[in-house]
Formats: sequence, C-alpha cells, structure tokens
Amino acid sequence: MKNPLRWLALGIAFVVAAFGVALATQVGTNPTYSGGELLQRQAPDFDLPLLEADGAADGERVSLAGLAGKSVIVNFWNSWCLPCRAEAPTLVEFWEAHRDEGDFAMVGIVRDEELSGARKGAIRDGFEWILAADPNGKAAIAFATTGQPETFAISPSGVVTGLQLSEVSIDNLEALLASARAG
Amino acid sequence: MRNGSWIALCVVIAVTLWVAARPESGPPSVRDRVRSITSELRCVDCQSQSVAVSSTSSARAFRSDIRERVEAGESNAEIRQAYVDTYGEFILLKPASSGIGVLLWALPIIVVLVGGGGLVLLLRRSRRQPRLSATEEDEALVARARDQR
Repeated sequence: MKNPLRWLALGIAFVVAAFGVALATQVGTNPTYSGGELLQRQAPDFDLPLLEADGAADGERVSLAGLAGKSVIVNFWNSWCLPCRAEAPTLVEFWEAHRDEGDFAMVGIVRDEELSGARKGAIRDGFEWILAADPNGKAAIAFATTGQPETFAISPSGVVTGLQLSEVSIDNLEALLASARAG
Repeated sequence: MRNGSWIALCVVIAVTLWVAARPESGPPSVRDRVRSITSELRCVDCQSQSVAVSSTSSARAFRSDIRERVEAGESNAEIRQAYVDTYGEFILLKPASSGIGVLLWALPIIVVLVGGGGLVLLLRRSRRQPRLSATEEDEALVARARDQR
C-alpha cells in the first residue's frame, strides 16, 4: 500500500457514495410495517357505540371488557374500501360457521367518519356480528392500524394473539381464531 | 469608509440572524405543540408524509388524539413515546437518536471528521516535503543564461 491516505480517501468516498445510493433508493417509500407492538400484549380496551345497522338501539355500546372470557376476532373495515368489500363474503362464511359457539365473538369496527354508507353496506353484505363505530378513530389508533381491512385475534384473557394486515381468507380467520383459543 | 460599510453590513446580518434565531418568549401554545409533535409522526396511510400535513382520516384522528393528550397535560416526549409503544419506531419520521438510529445520525459526522482529518494530514505532509534545491548544473545553466543577455 504505497499511499495509505489515498486508500483512506477512496474508502470515505465509497462509504459516502453507498450512503447516498441507499438514501436515494428509499426516497418516497415507507418502511415495512408488520403490525406495531401489539402482538402478544394486552389488547387495548375499547368502548364503542354500536352501529345501528344490526338492529342495535341508539346508545348501545360494546367494550372488550364486556367480551372477557371469549375468543374475539376484531375486524377494522369501511364502506368504501375495495379489499373490505372483497373479504365480506369470507367474513360472512366464517361467521356462519362459528356464530353458535359460546366462547366466540366477532366485532367489526367501522373506520368511516360518515356512517350511513357503512350501515347500508352491512345490511347489503349480511353482516350480523357486532358492529361498532369508531368516533375520532381512537380504537384504530389504539390497535396501531394503518388502514383497512385489518383483523386481530384476541384471547379470552385479552391478549392479542394474531393479526392480518390485509384481506383475510377463511384459512387466515381459522388460524386467527385458533391462536386466540390457544392464547 | 469602505471598512465602515462592511462593518455596518456585518452588524445588520448579525442582528437579523439573532432576531430570527432567538426563541419565542412564553410557553408554546397547544396548537404549536400539536404541530410540533405531528410533524415528527408518520402518516400511516400515506407515502412519506407527516401527520401534520396529511389530510387523510387517520391523520385527522391522530391530530385530534394528540390535541386531547396535550390538553390533558401530557408532555411532548410522553405523547411521542405512547405512539412508539403502539406502532413501534415505524411511526417516527426521523430515525431514533438511540440504538441503531445513532448510526444514521453519526455516520455523516464521522465521514466529515475522517475526511477533514485526512485533508489536514495531506496538507501537513505536503508542507514537510523539502523544496527542490538547485544543483551545481542548474546554477551554471542560470549563470550562462544571464551572461548571454
């Protein structure tokens, strides 16, 4: 190595160039998100007004505390999201298969700010499980959601045991429910 | 007179910078604090936008939640930490100043320090090198050239 300083300068130039390339390729992209910090932690308790589409009276509410002891599937959705529309028949099929099981509950939390579309959609698609509104988006934030549909499994002791950050399949839902029951 | 103009210009620049950089008096308003916190948080359903500038429903929900937390007396650090506890480091637009995030902050400084150090070494080495001295032949050559004029 005749001139160590020249090598040092080359090394620095290489590091700077590599850093620049790494930054340039990241411009305009979000880092990968894998579902926040909720997995295997106590689920955030929610206490939400029911969506009246399923026949609930105005003012009725649902809370996670009120579902303690059950394996709960929580599905965040809204009326204008195409993947939510696409997964609706799957959710109905899953609900029909488990609706009579006493240790099971399913809650759909609507992310719409304007609820009339969600009410119509719920009736059209045959959603008969518990449906709740999320005024101010507090439940969506507490569950660290980044959009919809997003589905969470909560064990009878209130621990988040699984999550699906995109459209669910029957297999996904069965795996989520199994994780909740095992958790 | 020319020196006087330069001094006056320097005074004007210094005063302008001082006025621009001095902290505002009094505690920041709720609105300022919400703006400050939301500008550091990632809008979760946008591409590389902060919660402060996004118009999505989730960003509006974030702003509303943060305003409530500020009004409830939580500090900026507590609010940021609450979001990190829920979403993880993903929610921060700037890399964290601890753990692996330190590397991102430190790397440019390290590069500048090492580069500057290398430059100083190069300059010092070039100064230490002896200047070329004329040989007898060179002296004779110069003498001959002078004689010929």
